[in-house]
Order: sequence, then structure tokens, then C-alpha cells
Amino acid sequence: MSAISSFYTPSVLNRATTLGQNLRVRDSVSTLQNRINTLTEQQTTGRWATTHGDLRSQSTLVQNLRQKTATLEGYARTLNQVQTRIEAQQGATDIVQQASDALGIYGMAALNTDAEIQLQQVPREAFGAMERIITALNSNIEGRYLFSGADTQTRPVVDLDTILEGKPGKMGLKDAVANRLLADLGGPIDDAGNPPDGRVTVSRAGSQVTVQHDGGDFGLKLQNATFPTGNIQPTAPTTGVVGTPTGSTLSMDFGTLAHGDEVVLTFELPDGQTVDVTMLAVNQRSRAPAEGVVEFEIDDDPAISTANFVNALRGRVTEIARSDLAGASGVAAASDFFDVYPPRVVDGADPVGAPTFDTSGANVVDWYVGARGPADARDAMTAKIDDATWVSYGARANESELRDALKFTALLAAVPYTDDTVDRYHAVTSRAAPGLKATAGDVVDMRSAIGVTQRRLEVTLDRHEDVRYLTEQQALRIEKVDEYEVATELNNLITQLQGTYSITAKVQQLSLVNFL
Amino acid sequence: MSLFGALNSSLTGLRATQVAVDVVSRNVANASTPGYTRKIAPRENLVVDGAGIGVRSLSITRQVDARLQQNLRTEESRSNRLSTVADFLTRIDEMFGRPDQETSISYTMNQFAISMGELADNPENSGVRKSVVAQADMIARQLNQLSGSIQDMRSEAERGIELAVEEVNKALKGIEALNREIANRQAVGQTTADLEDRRDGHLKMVAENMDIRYIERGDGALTVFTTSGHVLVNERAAQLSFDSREVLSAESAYSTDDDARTVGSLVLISPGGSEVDLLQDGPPRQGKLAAYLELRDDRLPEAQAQLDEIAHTLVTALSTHEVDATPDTTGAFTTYSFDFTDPTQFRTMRDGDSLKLDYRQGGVSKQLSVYFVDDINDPSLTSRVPNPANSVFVQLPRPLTDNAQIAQATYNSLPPTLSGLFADPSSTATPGTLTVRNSANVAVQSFVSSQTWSDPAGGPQLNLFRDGNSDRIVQTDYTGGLTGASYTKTGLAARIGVNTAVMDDDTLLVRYTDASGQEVPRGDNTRPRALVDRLTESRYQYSGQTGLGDASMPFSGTLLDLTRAAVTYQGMEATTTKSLSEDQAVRTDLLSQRNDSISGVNVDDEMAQLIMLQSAYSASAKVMQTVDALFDDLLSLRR
Repeated sequence: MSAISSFYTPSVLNRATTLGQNLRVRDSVSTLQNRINTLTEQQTTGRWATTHGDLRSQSTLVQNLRQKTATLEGYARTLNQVQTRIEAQQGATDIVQQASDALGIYGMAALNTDAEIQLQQVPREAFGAMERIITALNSNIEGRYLFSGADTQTRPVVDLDTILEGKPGKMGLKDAVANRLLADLGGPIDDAGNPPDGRVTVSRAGSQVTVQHDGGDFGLKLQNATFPTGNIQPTAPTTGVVGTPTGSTLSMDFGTLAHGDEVVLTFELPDGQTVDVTMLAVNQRSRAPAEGVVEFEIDDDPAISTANFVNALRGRVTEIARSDLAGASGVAAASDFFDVYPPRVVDGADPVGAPTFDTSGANVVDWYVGARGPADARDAMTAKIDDATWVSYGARANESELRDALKFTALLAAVPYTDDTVDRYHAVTSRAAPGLKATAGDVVDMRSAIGVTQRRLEVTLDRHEDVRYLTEQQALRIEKVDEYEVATELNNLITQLQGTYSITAKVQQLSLVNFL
Repeated sequence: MSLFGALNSSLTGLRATQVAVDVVSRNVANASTPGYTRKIAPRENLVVDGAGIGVRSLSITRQVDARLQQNLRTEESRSNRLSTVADFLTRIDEMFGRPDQETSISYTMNQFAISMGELADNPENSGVRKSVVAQADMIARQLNQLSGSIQDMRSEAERGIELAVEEVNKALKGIEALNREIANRQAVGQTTADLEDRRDGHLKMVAENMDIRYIERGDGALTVFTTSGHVLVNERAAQLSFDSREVLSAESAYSTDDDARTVGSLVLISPGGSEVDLLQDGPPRQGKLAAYLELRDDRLPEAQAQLDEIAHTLVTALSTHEVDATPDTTGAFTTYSFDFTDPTQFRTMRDGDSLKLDYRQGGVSKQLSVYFVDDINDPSLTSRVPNPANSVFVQLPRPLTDNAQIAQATYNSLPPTLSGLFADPSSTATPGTLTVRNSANVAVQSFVSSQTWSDPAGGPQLNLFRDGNSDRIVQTDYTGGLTGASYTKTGLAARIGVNTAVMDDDTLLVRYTDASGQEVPRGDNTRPRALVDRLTESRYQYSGQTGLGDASMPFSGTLLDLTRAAVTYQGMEATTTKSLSEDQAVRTDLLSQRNDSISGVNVDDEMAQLIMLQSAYSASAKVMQTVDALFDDLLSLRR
């Protein structure tokens, strides 16, 4: 390389070239301008980062915080929605509880007054209560039925008329109850010529007496017989009551009866309760035998004694059939209608002699058409209210508490009250009214369980609000610019730029060219 | 010594001064010309026969520091590489939008999860269902768009290489021509300063594109090499060639096998015609070419791999049918087994189906992943699974009509260290069943099988996303296959789309046929609930191809974690490269200023020199005038 000339230029390293100088000025001006632009943008947006990259390693944190905020907002929306729904549930269960409670109280009061006028009003009261309960169970909020489990688009309970009266080809509760009554009683309740026998036949042959229940699933089921004292003893087999294909039978031999000989027959009513009939051999019938005791006179002729026994027992059975059996029959029919799926009714065209149930559900109205699973009705609806936290708040009209309220109310509405069947209605009411009171209590328990969920939602919502506020603050703390700092720096830079401009102008003047 | 001598000397002075003024005028004229170096007209005492007879102008030279210049070229190469890479990466960072506007893929994913959570709350609400489909569509489109932008950038890089190659070739030719001329002129002592300036310009052009070294030979010609030692210009210039593919897609990739290669490759053709593939043998390490190559083959494919991983996880997470192994607690130790022949739980095994076993052995948590593949000899297998060190591949029997052989095939593929955990199916009464056993020091935590499901009616999983995003394309199910044609993960982000069946009937987001064969009721939220959990709660392991983890410690987390990590990773890459590039720019600037201060023109200097020259010229003229007067005096003596 040709050496740098010694002709001129004493110290090369300290020289500033004209081009370099201009370029440098341009460079620093544009750097200043860029910085001013950035600061202006930061000032207007209030945030210092323009891209995720600007945030560097804090980018993940900021995204996390911002997403957390959005997620919490989502949870809050869900929580509010769920709360609205739960409130509606509470409202509906409240109606169910009040209706069944009021009807229960009314029924109990009617039972305790002698005037039948109040009992006469029970069906009408029941009808109103049933209307209210069905409306409550069919409550719909935001297009969702609250008591159909997961099947929110189906109205869970069919209308009152269909439940009671049925629809073409499907019988309603009234028919189911009436048929069941015929099946249990073995004939019409008010047939004076052929009084109902509860499907129990009592027959005799010499000193032998046979009590037989052949109603299959229906009637007064002879469950047990005890022979506390005396000469009445079971014969072949000696164990007492034995089962038959259509029921059960008991054969007894009276031997030589003595005053005070007795046999206690236990019958099972369709609703599972039992009734004991104590057949007591007496020499002379008393005017007022003890409760549950039926006396029959001993005659010297054993055939007459057994005939007395048979008549006395038949009379007692008819009595039971017209009251307790009729009442229990109604409850059983209602239970089969409401509690069993598919609903059970008496099989066959003629209920009088029917031995079995029709369990196909083909001929009976299905009162509940919502979803039946899962096992816990609450799990039918779930909402995500926090990370990995779900709350269950589903409900179904066929949950036992709500179902019982409807069942007893419907029963009271379905059984006709007539002057001839006061005993029957009395028996039905005496079962349904305490049932309604108990159900009202169960519904209250259910409501408090929902209340606990409600409280949990409120607490969660409050917590979310707090966390959301904190999260927003954290994100802001990272992202937000210090406006005073930016403003100050901006001011400095503007002054600096102005200075640069004026100095540049002066330096440009400062050329030897201008002085030659 | 004579008056003539004096006259002659001052004449040489005038002449030399004229030359110097000429140089000054050119310096001043070019004061603002980039690349112009200050010229100097050196002069020396003209000596003849041992005696000075005036001044002589030497050939005009440049005022440069060659070592500094070579340093500057190197720094310029670096600067160009970093600024080009930073430029591209910044664009990726910018694609995610401002952090406070919440437009990045991670926010879209979060919104999708939130809307799915709302669906779990309102399964029967068609408005919410529509919003879920819309959010899903948005994710798919965003992935398509990001993937498209990245591939556009790769195509841009490919074209960038093409242009850079053209520039380099032109410059190399220029250097060749100037080398020749400079050598010729130097041989006859003529000035070569301006030609050298031109040649420097070409050299700068080459250095901007690739890293080079050069040496000046005795005759003034330059020999230029790549830093890896390939000669670019000696007597004659070599040329680069690049078979550009113009438009690249995610599947386009470099390969040393020319037939498999679907992107351009850089070839150096020597003047003699021999060819060297620079990408295999000393690729450029600095300069724009290096930047474009790095972007095309490394940085951008990595970004694509992250998007593909997001798409892959999104599709498979939602569409996977998971089966937990059936525990049997009757024995002394609990066993867990899969009956692969049970058609209600398993469809026929396919490439990509897997089993995951979590267990504790001697108190240490361990994992085993079993992957069923069509071709166990595929060399890429280990790079395609997240945790290759703890993975076992099972060759699927061919032809495969049922799962009867699966249990045995799996058992046979296990390494001896692991097979002890399992029962040999052939020695049991149920050869179709694979059983893992607890033992004194082994406790199984979970044993889960995963199969992607393609029937939206089966649930609760749902193939909400499929492969194919346009009406003109037939959608297919993405199965997460690992070998051969069934490996379609690359570029999935570009092709992912919402299942058209769900688009047409959004109730599919909710309704499906459960295990009992019944369709769930309209208000049942089992499916959206399962889907939202898979989006927000389930943790997955991610492939090392994403750069987010490595084979020994794969990145794992929820899908949201993955999207956040991807956005942050890209942002960090951009910022890091940008700040590297800025640092480098400062270094290059300083060096460039230093170079300027040596080689550049200062007008004031030149003016000062002009004044000096002016006075020197006047002085020489004065001498001539005086000599003239002396001659006059001398001549007047005769009168």
C-alpha cells in the first residue's frame, strides 16, 4: 500500500470527515426521533411494550396474568349464571315445600274434625296444590328446564290432566288407582251384595278352617299366623302359613274350642304395612271387643263354631278392605305410578281377578320424561367455577323428595270422594297427609343442601373478584409505563433534539468555504 | 545552477501544485460520496545526477488503512447477518400483536377454552355452541395465517438468497475485471486509487452477503476467499449458483440428498467449472446469505414446528379416546390390564396410537410411552416423539385386521429391563390382554391408552379439528401418525380446520353416544366438560423439534402453557437477536467512523490545503516572475 503521505494531515485519527460528520448528525437525529416516537407511543398507550418480545422473559407471566383475568371473568359469568339457576331452583322447591306442607296440614286437620265437609274439600285443595307443584317442577329459566336433569330441553313433568286422566292408550293415575283398588279388593268397594274380600277366601270343612289369599300381587296378603294359646292349631303343614303360586294359605283345626282360644292372623297391606286380626273364641260376644280383636262364638256343634269363625273373619276382612286396604291400595298405586320406572299397573283387562303387574309401562302414562341419570341428580348439571373445580347443581323432578310431594298430592287429587267411600278417603288421607308433612321436611333439607352450594358459589365469586383485581394489578405493574418518567424523558429528548437542530445549523455555517 | 534551472524548478512546482489542486478539487467534489476515499498527490524532490531539479508528482494514492478495512468488512458481514435475522424475527414477534391487545395465539386459545367452559355451563344454548365453533375456527385460521406468514418469510428468504447470489456474482466479476486493470496500470506506474475505490465497493457488496477474507498480491490484484477457504476470485472469479424454488411450504426442507431436497442449495462454481455444494462444505457463516439460510433452514422451521406442535396437540387432545387400564386387586399385587380385543374400548390399532405408563420404581417416578408404528425402522422416529429416551416403539403386525396380536407384539418389543413389569401374554389365559403388575418395588400410578377417534358420534372425545381447511380440500382426520405417509405433523398448522361436520351441526359439540349406546340428552355437558379439561387441565409432553425443551427434558404442560411458551420464545428470540444486532451495529459504526476518519474527506482540511497550494502556486509564479525579471535584466545589459 502506498504510505499515507507526510505531505499533510498531522494526526489522521482525530480528523472528522465532512461526510462522516453529516452522517453522524443524521444518525443521532434519527435515533432521537425514534426514541421520541417510542416514548410518545408509550405515553399514549400507557404501556411500554409494543410486542411480546419487548416484555422478554416476563412475556409468559404477562400472558398468564392476562389469561387468568379473562378466565376469571369467564368463571364469574358462569357463577352468576349458576346462581341465577340455583335461585330459581330454590324458588321452585320452595313452592313444592309450601304446597305439600299446606296440603298436609289441611289433610290432617280434616282427619281430626268430625265434619266431613272439610275432608270433602281435600281433593279440590289437592288439585290446586298439584297444579302449583307441577308448575314449579316445570320451571324454565333461560330456556332450560331446571328439574329435567341433563335433558334441559324437555319439560320434565307431564301436565296435570294427563297425569290424572291419562291419554289415549295410556291410563292416568285415576285409572291406575281405581284398577288397583279393584284388584286389591277383589271387587267394587260398594257392592253390597258381594262385599269385597281383599282376595281372601275363608272356608271350612268340619273342624277344619282354611284361610287363603290368592290375589297374587294384590289384596290382603296373609303373611303370618300365630297360635298363642288353646286348641286352634295349624294342620298340614304344621308350620302355619305356606305360600302358593297365587298367594298363601293357612289350614287350621279348631279341635275342641274353649273360651279364650285365639289365633292371630297377620295380613300385609299393599303399602307394606301389616294389620293383625286376632280371632278370639268366646262363649258370649262382648259389646265392645278390644281393638283388633274379632270374637266368634263357640257352639257345641264344631261346624257352627267354624261357621261363626268364617263369618266373623269375612266380615272383618270386608271392613279392612273398605278402609285400610282401600287406603293402602291407593298409596301403593300412586307409588307404583310415581316411584317405579316404568310405572306398574294391574295387568290384564279385568283388574278384579288379576294376579300380576304389567311392568312394561306400555299402558300407562309416564309422568316424568326428563333424563334419569346419573345416580346423583346434582351431577346432571355441572359448571366449572375454578381451575379444576366443578360445582354440581343439577336437579330432577323424580328425586324422591320432590316425587313424594307430587305423589301424595296427586293421590289425594285422584281418589274420588263420595259419600259411600268416606272410609276409603279417610284411609287414603290418613296416609297421604303425614307423608306430605314428612316430604315438606325433606324438601327443606334439600333446600338447605342447595343453600350450601349457593354459599360456596358466593364465596368463590368473591374470591375470584379479589384474585382478578390482584391479577390485573400485577399485569399492570409489569406493563404500565411510569407516565412521569416518560413525560420527563420526552421533554428532555425534545430539548435535546431542538439543541441538535440549532447546533447543526450553526456547524453547517462553520465551514472554511464561507470565509474564503 | 542556472536561471534556467530555477525557472524549470518553479515550473515543476507549478505543475505539481496544479496536480495537487486537481486532487483537492476532486476530494471536495466527492466529499459526500459514500465509498470515496481521500486521494493524495504525493510528491518528491526531483533529483537528476545527484542534484535536485525541482519537484515531481508521484501517482495519486488513497489514504486507507487496509487492515482496518478488512476488519470493517468482517464486521459488516456480521451486521448484515444479525440485522437480517433480527428483521425477520421481529416480524414474527409483531405477528402476535401488542401484548395488551390480546391477539396472540395464546389468547385465542384461552378464549376458546373459556367459551368451551361456557358451553359446559349451557350445553343446550345454540348461541354458545356457535361461539365455540367460531372460536375454534378462529384458532384454526390464526394457525393457518401464522403458518402462512412464516412460509412466506421462508420463500422471501429463498428469494433473498437468489438476489444475494446475483449481487455476489456481479461483484465477483467486477473484482475480476478491476484486478486485471489495476495490475496492468500498476505495472506501468499509473495511479490505481480510483479503481481501488471501485473494487472496494464490490468487495463491500460481497462482504455484506457473505463472510470473506482477502489478500492483496504484489501486483495490486486481490485474492478473495470464503472464510471456509474456497477461492472466490483469484485470476478469475468463481460464481455462485442457487437453484431457487421460489415458493416454499412447511414441508419444503433442505436435505443432503439432492432428490429429497425441496429448497434451493448454494453451489460454488470455480472458473474451471468444478462445483462445490457450499451448504455441505463450508456454508457462509456471516452476511445476508448466512442470515437467509439460517432463517430458511433453522429459525423459521422451528417457529413452524411450534405452530405444528400447537395444532397437533389441539387436534389430538380433543379427539383422543382414552382408556384407563382395568385394575385387578384380587391378587397379592394389583395388576392393570388392557384387553385390546375388546371392540367397545379399542378400534384396530393404527400408526401413532400409544400407551402411557406412569409408575414409581423404588420411589422414583418413571414414565414409559409405547408407540405403535407401521415402520419401526424409520430413522426419524425418535425425533418425532417428545420423550425418546423413555419410549418404546412397537411394529404393528401386517396385515392388521384385529388387535389379537397387539398385546404379544407390545410385550416382545419391550427391552429386558422393562419386560419384567409386564406379564407375558402368551403364558396367560387371555393372550389378547396386556397386563402390567405392581410388585414389591413397583407401583403403577396410571396406565392409559390413547387412540385418536374419527367418529364424532362416539364420545366424549370429539374430532373438532381435522386436516384440511378449505372447501376445495377433502378433510381427513389427523391421526398423529409417526411413520411414512401417516406422519403429517409438519405443516399441520397450515392445514388445520374445524371439522365440517361440526360446522354443519354444532349440536355435535354436545351430543354423542355414550358407553351404553344411548345418545346423551341435549343438556348433558359431559362432552364439553371433557373437552375443556383437555384444553386447560391435561398436561402433555411436547416434541423437542419445537426448541422449547430437549429430548432428555421435554417441555411439558397444558396446551395453554405451550401457546404461551411459543409466543414468549418467539418474542425472546426476536428481542435477543435485535439487541445482538444493535450491539453489532454499534461496533460496525465505530469501526466505520474510524475508517471514515482515515479515508474520508474533510472539506475544511481541503480548503486549508487549497490556501496552502494557492500560496505555493503564487510563490512558484513569483519565482518565475523574478527569474523572468532577471532574464530581462540580463538581456538589457547588451543595450
